[in-house]
Amino acid sequence: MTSFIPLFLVLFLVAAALRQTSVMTVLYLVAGLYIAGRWISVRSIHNVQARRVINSRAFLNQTIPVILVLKNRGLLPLIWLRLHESLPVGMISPNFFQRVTSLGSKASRQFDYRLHAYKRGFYEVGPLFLSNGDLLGLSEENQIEVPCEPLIVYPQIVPILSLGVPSQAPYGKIRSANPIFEDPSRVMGKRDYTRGDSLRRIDWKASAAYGGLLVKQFEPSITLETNLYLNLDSQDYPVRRRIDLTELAIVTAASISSWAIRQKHALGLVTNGADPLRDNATPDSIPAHKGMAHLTRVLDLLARVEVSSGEPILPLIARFSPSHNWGATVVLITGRVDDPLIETLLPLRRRGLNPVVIPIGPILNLHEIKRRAEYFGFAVYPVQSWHDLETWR
Amino acid sequence: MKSYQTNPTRWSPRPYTPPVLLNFLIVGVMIGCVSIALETIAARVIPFWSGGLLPYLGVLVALEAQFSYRQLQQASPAGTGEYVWRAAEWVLLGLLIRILLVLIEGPAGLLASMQSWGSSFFQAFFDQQYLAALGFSLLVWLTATSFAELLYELEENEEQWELERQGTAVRDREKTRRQLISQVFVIGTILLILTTLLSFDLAFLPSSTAPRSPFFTLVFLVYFSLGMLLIAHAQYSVLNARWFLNNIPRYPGILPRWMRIAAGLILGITLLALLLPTGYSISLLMLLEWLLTIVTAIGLVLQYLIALPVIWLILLLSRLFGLNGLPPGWQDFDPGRLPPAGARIDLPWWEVVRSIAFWAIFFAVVFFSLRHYFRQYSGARLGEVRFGPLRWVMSLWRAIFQWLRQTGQGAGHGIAAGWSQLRGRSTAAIANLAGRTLILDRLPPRQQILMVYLAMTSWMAQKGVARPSPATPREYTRLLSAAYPRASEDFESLSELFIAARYSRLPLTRDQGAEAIVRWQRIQKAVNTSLTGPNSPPS
Repeated sequence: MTSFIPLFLVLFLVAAALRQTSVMTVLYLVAGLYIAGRWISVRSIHNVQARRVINSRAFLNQTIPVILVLKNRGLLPLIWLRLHESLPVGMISPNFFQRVTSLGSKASRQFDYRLHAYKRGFYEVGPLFLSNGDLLGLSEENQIEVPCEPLIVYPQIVPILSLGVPSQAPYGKIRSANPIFEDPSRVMGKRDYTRGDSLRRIDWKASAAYGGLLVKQFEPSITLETNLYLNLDSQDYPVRRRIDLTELAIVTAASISSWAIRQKHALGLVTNGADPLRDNATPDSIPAHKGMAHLTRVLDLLARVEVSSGEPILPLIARFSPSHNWGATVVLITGRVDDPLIETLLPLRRRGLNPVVIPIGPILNLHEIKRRAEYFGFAVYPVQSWHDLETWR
Repeated sequence: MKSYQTNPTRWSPRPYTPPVLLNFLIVGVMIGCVSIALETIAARVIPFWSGGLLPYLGVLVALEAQFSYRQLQQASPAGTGEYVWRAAEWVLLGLLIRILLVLIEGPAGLLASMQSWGSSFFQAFFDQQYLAALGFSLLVWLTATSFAELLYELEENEEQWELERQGTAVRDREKTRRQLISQVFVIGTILLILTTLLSFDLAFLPSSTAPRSPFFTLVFLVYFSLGMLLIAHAQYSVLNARWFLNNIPRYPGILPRWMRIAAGLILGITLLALLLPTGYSISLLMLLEWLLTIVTAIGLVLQYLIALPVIWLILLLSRLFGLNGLPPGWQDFDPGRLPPAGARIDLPWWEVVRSIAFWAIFFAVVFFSLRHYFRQYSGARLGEVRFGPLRWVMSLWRAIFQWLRQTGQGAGHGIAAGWSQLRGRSTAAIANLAGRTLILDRLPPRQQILMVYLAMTSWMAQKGVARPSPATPREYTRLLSAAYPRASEDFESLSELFIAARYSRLPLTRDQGAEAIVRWQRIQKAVNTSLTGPNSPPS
């Protein structure tokens, strides 16, 4: 438009100097078209309501349909409207969606495209840029931005039937006849008296009615609790297979999490990975909790967490393990098993926790480690490849 | 005659699509407008000019020039073929002009001309009138060809675009569009200035007939309006090519809508420009006096209407107390004596409206200029002045400016809040209202809690967790807590407060009302900072 300012000046000066109505009228026309065109284009683009319909969570290898809904809330039409939506590089090629459309007054239009969840992670869909301009091209184009929408692709979850952990751990023996603690206020049922039952458990009234001794059975009062420690320190994985093995570690963690929640365990998660939502700092630990909503929270973190070279995992175990309940299982998924690790886990065992170590990838002296773990009373389940996870099915 | 070699492998022939024909017509009519102006100039400058021919000739030559240019581009003749083409074109045009002149002269003129051709053909055939018409045609032809060249460059041609996409041929369409705009405005401005100059009574000109101003205003408006339509079309062409080159799929119905709306807008603004005043019939002071008279009259009528029931009441009361008529002093009130509104203005109403519009435009321009100026030079730049007294003045000015701005913003917010409160029907407005603690603070605690809870349910419904109609507040709270576990405590507290406020008669304290607001703010924060939205368990 700046190139027209001299023209306006000339027209104005001519009109003023010669006092000609025709010059003034032409000036009105040109200025009016500029002002009206600019006003309409600015006003109309701000009347556009853009909405992105997308399921913000997806599983691996899932196709995610995205629908962009544009609605012109105003009476002024949008003669042309360009859409440019930036998309995650790993989900579609080319990594943008572009269209040019036209929207009448109060009209709406929708566009759809599909993303592909090839890799777990935290992605951002957008931002969507909407731009338009005036009919004559006399003023600058206007642009508005529709903010990004987060999209989380969960890690692969391998359905686990049993990990085959030792009998003293909550795993595998959940319905034990001898729960660790029982709540006398929660009577679960009654059964016949057997030798060794405490006399205080006998329900005398029921025994009288039944004609034989009956003892009360109580619900276990201890919560079955599993706390996952996921080591994503890059130093603890071999350089050549770092990407592959850390992904395997995350998949293992996700699979155990899913299994634990389905077994009605309370699940907690501590990791030393990098969280992109916290500027790649270590994420907050997730305290043990039950329920599918909690699993979603855990999987959200596992979906977005990345390898880091920051805080080692052992201090985190030392910091968070005192808050675990007695009898809770502590599952450590790591790429390195060494003496300091065993020294860290040993006090846990002494405090009544059940440590389980899942070494990821090739581990030197695995046999020796297993032997020592057995000696100290905790289990070791090596996962050297994806195939090992399949054996847990 | 040498046959033209065509190169069919290079370009496919471009069809005469409706947009191309529309461009032909627009340029033709624009040149017609130019011809009318040139006709007037010629009539004043050339003494022997008989006139009347140029507008028709201009349109005809403009159409022919565009058609010819296009055909030449399609045929792309080799060697001297283009010159032969042009020579043949001009021989034809020359003959056409001669025939037109003869037709204007009539049968008698034709006979006289034919008799004179025998003695001296060249002098008789190429007479002054004919040469002037030829010169004019050449001017028009060059202008129209120039337009045709620019429009041909901008024309939609996917074959050419495909080559550009491959990088073999690149065209700067934006530059072409700018050239087109310049051409439209330069020709228009030159003609405007020339016609304006000729409208003066210049003694050295052979003809003393000055052109009629209103007619020329119309002619120029038509020229510039069509020029703007051409520019609108050029803008579409530039964008369309850009979208194609960037592989952006386009909605197919853009062009018809573009041209329809552009034509409508240009027509509307043209009519408005015709109606807008170019001067004023009523001076500013007179207009202000007139407006003041009207305002005073309206005020008096309102005063009369307000006072009438009071007078009636007093009259009734006085009769009740045995008095007749109004008390002393009230007798003087004579609502019938209103000042005659606009009595001093004897102009027609449209002149009054035009004058008001003129002064409104004048003050709008002044106001916006001042606003822009002070916005540019307010704030830090004024603070840089180091000279003592001037610095104080500047500081004072800055303080006043800030105060005015804050007052304006405060008033704006107040009006906006009041308006949203008045509307009240939008759920979004309810949600916003709850955020404005100033308004909530004035409510009783029970109303505060109810309002906050209502806002929370509306807002959460927008966030995707709507309250199912049969759900109790506690059931709805469980639903919300599942969706946003981080805010579960706040949901529960707010819900309990709501239950107490809605279903009990217990007295509620100010602290409980304040707690509801705080809980609501914490819920908003928790929900806004959550990742995506409500949690949904993976299936």
